[in-house]
Amino acid sequence: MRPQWQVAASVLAGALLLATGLLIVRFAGLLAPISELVVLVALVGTMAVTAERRERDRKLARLSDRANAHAARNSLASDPRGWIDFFPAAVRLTGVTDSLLLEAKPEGDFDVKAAVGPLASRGAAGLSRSEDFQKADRERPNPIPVEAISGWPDARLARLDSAGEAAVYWLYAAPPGDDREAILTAAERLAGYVAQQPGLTAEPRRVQRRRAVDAGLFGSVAALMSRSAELRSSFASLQTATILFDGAGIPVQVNSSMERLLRTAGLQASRVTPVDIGASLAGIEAETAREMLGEIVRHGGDVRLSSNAQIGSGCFTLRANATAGQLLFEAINVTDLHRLASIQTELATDIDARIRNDLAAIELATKLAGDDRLPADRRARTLSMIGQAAERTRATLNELGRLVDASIYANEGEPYPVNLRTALIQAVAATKTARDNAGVEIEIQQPTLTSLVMAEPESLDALLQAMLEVLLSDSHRGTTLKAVLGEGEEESQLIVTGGFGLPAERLAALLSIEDRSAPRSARLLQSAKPRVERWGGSFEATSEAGQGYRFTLRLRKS
Amino acid sequence: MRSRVLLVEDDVLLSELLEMLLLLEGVEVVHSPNGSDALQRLERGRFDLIVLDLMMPVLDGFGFLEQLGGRGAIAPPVLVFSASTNPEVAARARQAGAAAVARKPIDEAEFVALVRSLIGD
Repeated sequence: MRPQWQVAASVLAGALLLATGLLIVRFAGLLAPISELVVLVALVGTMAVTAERRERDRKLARLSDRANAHAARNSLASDPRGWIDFFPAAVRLTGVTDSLLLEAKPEGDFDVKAAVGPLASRGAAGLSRSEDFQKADRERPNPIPVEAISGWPDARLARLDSAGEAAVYWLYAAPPGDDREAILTAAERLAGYVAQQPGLTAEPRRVQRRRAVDAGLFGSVAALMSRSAELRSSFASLQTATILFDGAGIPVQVNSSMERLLRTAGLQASRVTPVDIGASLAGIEAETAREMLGEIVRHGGDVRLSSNAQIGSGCFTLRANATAGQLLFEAINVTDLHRLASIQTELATDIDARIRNDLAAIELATKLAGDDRLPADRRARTLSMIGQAAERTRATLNELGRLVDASIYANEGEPYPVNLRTALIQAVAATKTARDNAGVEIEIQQPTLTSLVMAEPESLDALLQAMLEVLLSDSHRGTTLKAVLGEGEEESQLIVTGGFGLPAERLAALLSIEDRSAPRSARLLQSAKPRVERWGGSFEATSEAGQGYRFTLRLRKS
Repeated sequence: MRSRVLLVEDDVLLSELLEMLLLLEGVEVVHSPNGSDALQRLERGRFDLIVLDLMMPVLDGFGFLEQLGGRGAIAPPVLVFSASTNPEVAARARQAGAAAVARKPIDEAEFVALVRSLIGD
């Protein structure tokens, strides 16, 4: 709420309170003087404004401290040139809207090292000739008001380096409004801090060991970890590479596995951004990565960036989780799992061959049974061979069923907060080929749902995709399936409707765990009910012949 | 004289069916459940063709082909009969000395035609 509205609301609340008091007093026969009431109302309003300003100042002071902490923590300590990378992020923390970091070249003009905000695109034309520039050059490091630079109204200019031939300047502007002074103070503190660092323009001299993460950051990480048993165990695991970014997209914690992984991908842990992770590690386009990550940072939750990212000689599953504005990436080494998958493929090929052989044997035995050229005892024998082959086929299918069941329930992790909307959007995207083949669209309704729900993300992905695929495979071309999101006090729900619809008893049989002949997507739905119930939710599938299906998934809010 | 085929196959059901099929073609079939047993049978008798499965216990098809090639004596042609869909498997079998490679599951007509061509009918 804007401060003026807060004041108005406070005044109104005070007036109502006093009016009520007045009414009581009137009934008591004791009428207070009107002038005293007016003073009281004004007092309530003033207190509200003061409290608001104090809170704002506290917030800005915190931002300023965080900016300084960032400056102190990583880049400056290990690499004097690192300021180019961390500085824009630190600037954003102060609340400065426009910022230009400039390095003066010996010939007199400037190299723009970092730019933030719309004014930054105008550059710093004429800066070197202005009086302000001359003043800043003399009065370093204090920021001075700038008046003569075209396109930079009410800006400030500070010289950041204290030594060196090539000078570094910071030109910045704060937005107008009540916060302006506090923002400028925060920026001044940052400029003052940076100016005290030795040799900003010097070449890297030595790589220092990174400082230990400070207690505040450790607390943040611990708080994040405590929200999810899976994340906690992931971070502790050497196999899982993790990196944590703060709200400004700055890496604040990285484990050694992730450092190694980043190095393999040609990235530096101290300079990497969330989009780099998406683009370089997961191999998705930078713009797509920006959108996906922005989505979960805004709404919270979990997104799988890749389940098969090739980094060096390893294969990794990459996932991002956003909680309270912080973004945690984890890369799980699934090289062994992929080896296992290859074994499973061989196994599937073997089972496939066995079934085909037995079916071919049944076909051949049937032909031979009717061939008069064979002796009678041989023909009689073919009949028992048909039975043998059929029995073998049944045994193989049962074996296959057990393997499928084992894989469905394997690696079922504990549920943790997941963004149902994001998961649904991903599931819809994953069905693109099926949608194109079926000529069927999927419409998502109520897409503003942002609550997090409890679910195991991978299983939820598979379940949502299976729900959509079952309907897609049983819909008229040119029709549209509807996926409607909604939420109650304690749970969120997704209702998917559409398709031809089977008779209720046929759907029940299809979704029975006993039906081994059901297609894969239906097999996944067979296990949906017990799985969702383990997460504290429910899953219901109904259908009527010719009237369509209705899948209702209810999940407990986190 | 009837042609004789040594059928090296560990699947009894399939082996028996192939025997009946070849019987209709006037071919005599001798069964062998693995490569090692087949090598011994080759020592004791004359065969016009070896029909060989690749995946078998004791000594598999490739092991059999290797030992057969190392014996130096003139051996009957080998028709490899495999469930593998991997083209490298077929290439390796040919390189090891197989005269032809047929795919499982059985294609009756293809199988009979290959047997006929390899035994010289």
